Amino acid sequence: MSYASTTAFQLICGVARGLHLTSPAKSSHVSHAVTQTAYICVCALLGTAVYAQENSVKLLPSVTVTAKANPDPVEKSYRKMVSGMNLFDKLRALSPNGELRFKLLPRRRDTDMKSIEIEVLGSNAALPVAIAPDYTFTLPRDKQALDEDAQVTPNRKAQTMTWRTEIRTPGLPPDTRRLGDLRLECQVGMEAGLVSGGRSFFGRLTSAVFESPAYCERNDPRYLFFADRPLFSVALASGPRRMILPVNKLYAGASMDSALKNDLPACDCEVLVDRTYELPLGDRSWPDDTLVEFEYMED
Amino acid sequence: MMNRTASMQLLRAGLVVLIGIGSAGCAGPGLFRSAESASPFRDPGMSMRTASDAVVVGQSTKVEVASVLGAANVVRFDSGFEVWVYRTNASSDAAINATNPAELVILFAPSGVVKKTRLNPSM
Repeated sequence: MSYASTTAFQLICGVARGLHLTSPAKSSHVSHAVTQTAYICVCALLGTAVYAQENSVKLLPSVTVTAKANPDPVEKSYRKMVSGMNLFDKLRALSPNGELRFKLLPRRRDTDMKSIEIEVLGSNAALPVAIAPDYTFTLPRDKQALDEDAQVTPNRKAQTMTWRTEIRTPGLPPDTRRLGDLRLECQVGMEAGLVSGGRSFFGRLTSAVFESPAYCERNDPRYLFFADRPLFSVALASGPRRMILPVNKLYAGASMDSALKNDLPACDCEVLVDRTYELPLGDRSWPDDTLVEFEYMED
Repeated sequence: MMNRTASMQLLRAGLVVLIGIGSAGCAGPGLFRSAESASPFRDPGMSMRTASDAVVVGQSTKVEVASVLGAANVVRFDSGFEVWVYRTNASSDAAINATNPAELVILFAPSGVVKKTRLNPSM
């Protein structure tokens, strides 16, 4: 037994003995013997219990201390990200030819996006993750990492980066995306727990369902997408039908919200505002094959 | 000193006046101008098309645009670009959620000259 356990045991037995010594003086020999036997039994039982408890603690798996207490850590749950990968497989019909990747984006002006390294870290598992030049990556499926509730951990401090999914159908015209790909990006991103700061930033407009994939099925979910470059215009095109998104669907709604600047630190779009757009994901009158066309500021 | 009855009568009279003023505002033109009829331009009679035609890409400056069209909702970016938005019903909640509000969007390059414009919906 450890020192702490021994001390606890001695304290318990000391209390029991104290109770025994304060028994009425007029006790008979028989009752005294019974009391003494009971005291010995109680001590023995308690000692066994303390010892057994200590042994059972030793049998528990080791615990990895992570930054889970941080409400907005830069690392992400491996289990949740794999859950997102599973949802991608399940909803493949939205993007039959798309490929799922995860993407890192800067969250601060001084974030250094060069030489980023990512590892999947559990109590024993340690899987390196290759990052492409466009800061995208895929995750391996690893049972040990799942069992150990590993974290996907970049070598960057919290609040310096944000994450998104990236699902692209190959062969699309330049400066376009496919709406079905983006619908799936939202769902997988929510399932994977990638969006940070969304609830606090949009708290006045949304509720706790913000972090659920079902949120993406709303007509106008405030899920922020980031274009490759600063945007001037975004349009939806499906056959002869074409609609330019109103400017309040760009720039995180800045054109309608004079207080946005004060709220930006709570948004993972802080340094990406000029690339930010929202889509009517739940409006099924726009089919999955709808093209999302981008016109950039610099064109 | 005013007694309690006189105070109550004065309060009632004030309420009647306030309700009357509010009703006039809800009815349309009156003391309160409805947001539905708000023009985003200095000249309330200016149409979106006329306003768009007044802006010349590669030539018009911020000062010139502001003097002709009036104040806009401005979004400034760290890159030096600015987006100016003239939107009908700019102050109404309906515009925030509208899927296709009438709006003129002007992009100024960091030089301060108009780089792009668009009318939404196309007119």
